[in-house]
Amino acid sequence: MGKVVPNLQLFLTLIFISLLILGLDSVRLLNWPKKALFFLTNPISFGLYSTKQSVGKQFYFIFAARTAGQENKALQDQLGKLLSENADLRKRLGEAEALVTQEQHLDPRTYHLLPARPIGLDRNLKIDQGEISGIKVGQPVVFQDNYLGQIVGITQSGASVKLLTDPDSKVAAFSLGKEGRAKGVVVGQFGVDLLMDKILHEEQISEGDLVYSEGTEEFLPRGLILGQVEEVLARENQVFKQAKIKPLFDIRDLELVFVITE
Amino acid sequence: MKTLIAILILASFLQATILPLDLALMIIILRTYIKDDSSNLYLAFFVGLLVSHLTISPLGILSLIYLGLTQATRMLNRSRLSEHIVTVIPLVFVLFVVKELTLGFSTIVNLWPEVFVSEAKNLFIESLLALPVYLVIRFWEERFVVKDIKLRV
Repeated sequence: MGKVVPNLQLFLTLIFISLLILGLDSVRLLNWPKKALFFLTNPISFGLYSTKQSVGKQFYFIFAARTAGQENKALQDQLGKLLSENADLRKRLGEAEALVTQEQHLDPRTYHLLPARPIGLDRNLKIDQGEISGIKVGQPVVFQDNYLGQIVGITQSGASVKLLTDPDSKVAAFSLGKEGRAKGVVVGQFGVDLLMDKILHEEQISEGDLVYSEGTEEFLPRGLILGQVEEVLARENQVFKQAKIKPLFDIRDLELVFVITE
Repeated sequence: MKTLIAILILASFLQATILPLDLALMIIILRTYIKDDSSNLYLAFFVGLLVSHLTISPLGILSLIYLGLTQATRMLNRSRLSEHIVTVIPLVFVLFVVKELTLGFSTIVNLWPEVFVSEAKNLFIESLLALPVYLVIRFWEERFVVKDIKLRV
């Protein structure tokens, strides 16, 4: 037996002592030594436990920081998309409002209007509608009941508009105010201003009068607003009077313009 | 021996506070597997008492289990199976299953499936951990423990 089970006597002795301790503990006879031992072991156990907690917190902080970074990036992407969507919606709203306003000023039953977005501005205004949409060279471009310019160049999906302020632009016009009316020709001045020329001295024109298109050109309807008289230049030694005209709209502020196709 | 006792005390504290693995029993079993010595029985007895005290279990219960498992390891150590190093993994697994069953593992299975899953996971980890711990103890015993050499005169 001793060869099969080594140190049998020692083993049985220790088993017996273990059983004895178990028995004594079950009847609570070992409570005092256990309490005394707890005074020694509890601080060590607590120290190890608190160390684990603090190390765990550090790791959790790293994990949380990483998660927060990922969330932040995702939120920034989301914010970018929302801002882009918001800008698109605002643009569409502006266009819708411009469309509604336009129909109030020029009767769609009389004028066939094609909306177009300005996509660039240098000497000419570039719009995003072209030959595919039925635009032709010479057609007028308006906003509300204001004349902006005339189509001078065209591609498949875009067109160039010669603005009223272009030095090559000349439109027969008349002014209308409280004092009376005056006829003349509105010409562009260096791409920024307008000048109404060829006004007879006996014709009445004053500051604040609105200037309209005469409609003698084939492409342009009568009665479209060209601008407002800012200053009258009248000299006795000259044959005609002149007036500085200020456009009512800044072309750079417009979201949508309209081409009169018919 | 002093180093081993210190490591066993540290392992007892660790398993009672931080790690859910029975490191102390693993070290004793693996040392018994390497070095068949009666000191392993003393170690099993006292470490069992310490772990019982630290885990607030009835004193003596773990001593009984540790002693039984250590003695079983000593008996298995004499068989041919013990010659291969990889046998420590199934050995530790089987002995730890026996320990869990003795401590009422079967009742836990019926009551809390999540506890069973956790215990099974720990058993798996302990079995895999057995091999590296075995190698470390063997290295330590072979290189750093002074052996008594009896010269024949």
